[in-house]
Amino acid sequence: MIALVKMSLKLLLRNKGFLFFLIVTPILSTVILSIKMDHTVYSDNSDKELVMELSDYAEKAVYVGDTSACIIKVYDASNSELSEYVLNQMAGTGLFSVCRADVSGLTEEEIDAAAKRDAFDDRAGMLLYLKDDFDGAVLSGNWEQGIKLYAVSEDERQEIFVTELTELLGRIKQVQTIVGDDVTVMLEMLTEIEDELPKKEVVNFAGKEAIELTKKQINQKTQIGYAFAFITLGFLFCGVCVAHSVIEEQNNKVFTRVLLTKLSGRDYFISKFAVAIVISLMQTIVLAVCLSFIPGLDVGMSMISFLFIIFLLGLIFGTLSLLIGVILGDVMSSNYAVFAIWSISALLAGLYFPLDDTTKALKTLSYLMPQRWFMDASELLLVGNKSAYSVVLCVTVACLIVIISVGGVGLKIKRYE
Amino acid sequence: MEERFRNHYFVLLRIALLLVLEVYIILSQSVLTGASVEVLLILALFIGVIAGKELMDRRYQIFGLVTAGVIWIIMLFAVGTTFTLLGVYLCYEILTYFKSRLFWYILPVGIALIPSEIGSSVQLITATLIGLIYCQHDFVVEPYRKQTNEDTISEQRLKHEINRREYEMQEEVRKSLLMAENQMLEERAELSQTLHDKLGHNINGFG
Repeated sequence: MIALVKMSLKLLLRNKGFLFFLIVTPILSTVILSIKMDHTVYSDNSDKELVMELSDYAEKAVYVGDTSACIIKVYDASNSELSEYVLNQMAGTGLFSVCRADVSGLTEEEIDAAAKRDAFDDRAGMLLYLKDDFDGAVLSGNWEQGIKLYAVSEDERQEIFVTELTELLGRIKQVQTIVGDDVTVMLEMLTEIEDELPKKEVVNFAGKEAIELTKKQINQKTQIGYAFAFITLGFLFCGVCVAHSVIEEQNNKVFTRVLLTKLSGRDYFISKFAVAIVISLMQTIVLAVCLSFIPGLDVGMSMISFLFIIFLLGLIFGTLSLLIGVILGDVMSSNYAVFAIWSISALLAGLYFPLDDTTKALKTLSYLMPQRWFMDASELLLVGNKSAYSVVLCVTVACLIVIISVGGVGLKIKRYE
Repeated sequence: MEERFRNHYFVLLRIALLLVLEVYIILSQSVLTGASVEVLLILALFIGVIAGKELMDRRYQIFGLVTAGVIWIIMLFAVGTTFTLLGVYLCYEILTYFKSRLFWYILPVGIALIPSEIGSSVQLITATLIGLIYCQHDFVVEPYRKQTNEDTISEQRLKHEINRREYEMQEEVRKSLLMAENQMLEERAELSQTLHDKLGHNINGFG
């Protein structure tokens, strides 16, 4: 069997296509990992700190707002720059999820009726009505006349909200005394003051259920996702190269001659599986060599852990493409099949686009893709959680069981041909 | 390709059915959301055992079925009644293995009455459809295929018999022909001898 493995590897190393995927895809992955990213495709939860716009004042805030924060539904009749600034500031505290509905043109009675209805139907922690003369009331110092608060729950965060709002309006009043009544100038001044203030750094300690990543970690996760996508492509096509050698051996009667020796068909396919393992290892080593040339590269986890994940991912996709190739018995068809699998699985796993805002069904479907689990494991490793190893090992074993058993049935049926 | 599919359609159908059932359960119940990797592993093991059973000889397949049963019980205890439909599937696999009577095929539908998160009506309809697929194969397709095979064999046997008889008849005819020819030759020889004797006697008498 060892002789078979050696022979297969020799044949593969003479194949230019195999060498291309063996060397070029790890290089591409290295390039992706070494790029300093300033943006990310993944949500960093910063949108939670923005004001959510409601399409209609009758729309329920609970469907739009962040339920982990205190939801404040705002009926904004003033629709001014100042009201927008105030609401953004309140949302920026992170404690409140502000949902605004444009109610310009509605009377106070209508708003009262809407608030009464929302108090029963909606799950907002508080309702806030900014009247059409909100700017005037704030600038005159009698802001109570421009704002109406409806306490619809016994949430103690209401007091914090009122305190925050009072402080903010007081700050606006102070700035007004310096720069005058021009709202635009006032807002510019307020923004400048904010920029001068020391920035707070939020350090999140992840629990088991929810992992909060820092901006840097989110960037690393994005890069790892792209690297996974490229390296997976390499693994898949290397698997097809192994399948090609199997097809050639069957056509050239090498397989028949192998069967005439003491080896059985099962031994032959075990040797090919061993070749797939060796190839995954080779590609991982090539990637390790490529990564060693990038000084100061930080993937957010130890290099050994990263390479271990890559190796397991390679094992899954190498075996998958090997079996697909052997079952289809045609290299071109195998190429089409594995490319389709690669595109769809990477897309569904969220390697290219975040799945946070997609439907529940799509999110659940993504858990059928191994890449999704590997991304989750990478997240765990980014926050130093060692349970990631058990996750990747379980997923690898699960995928290999399904691929080998279902592929085995396919091979058995093909044998009767 | 079509011939291959026709011969092994039921194996492929059962594996496809199992995969579809598992995906449906995962999607409808979101059992994997929340990083439940253990559930994924158990589900993969269930597929592995059922598919691996197809690779074994018939006498060893019972071990595969027992292992699948153990895995299903573990799933019930670990995750809950979400995987009830897989139990229905497993029961039909067992019934197919033992080639049971039609009456027994009604019983697995009863498992679908166990309340689960999927919903009793959906579960019941799915279980009935699974049952129909198995019944169709075991009591319609399989006997038909068996009958077709028997018919083909008896047709072959009949053809062989006809050929044999035809050959025997030809042989008989040939033998009869030979015998008739032989008899004719004997008659002719006898007549010739008689003529020879008579003519010889007469010629000698003249002399």
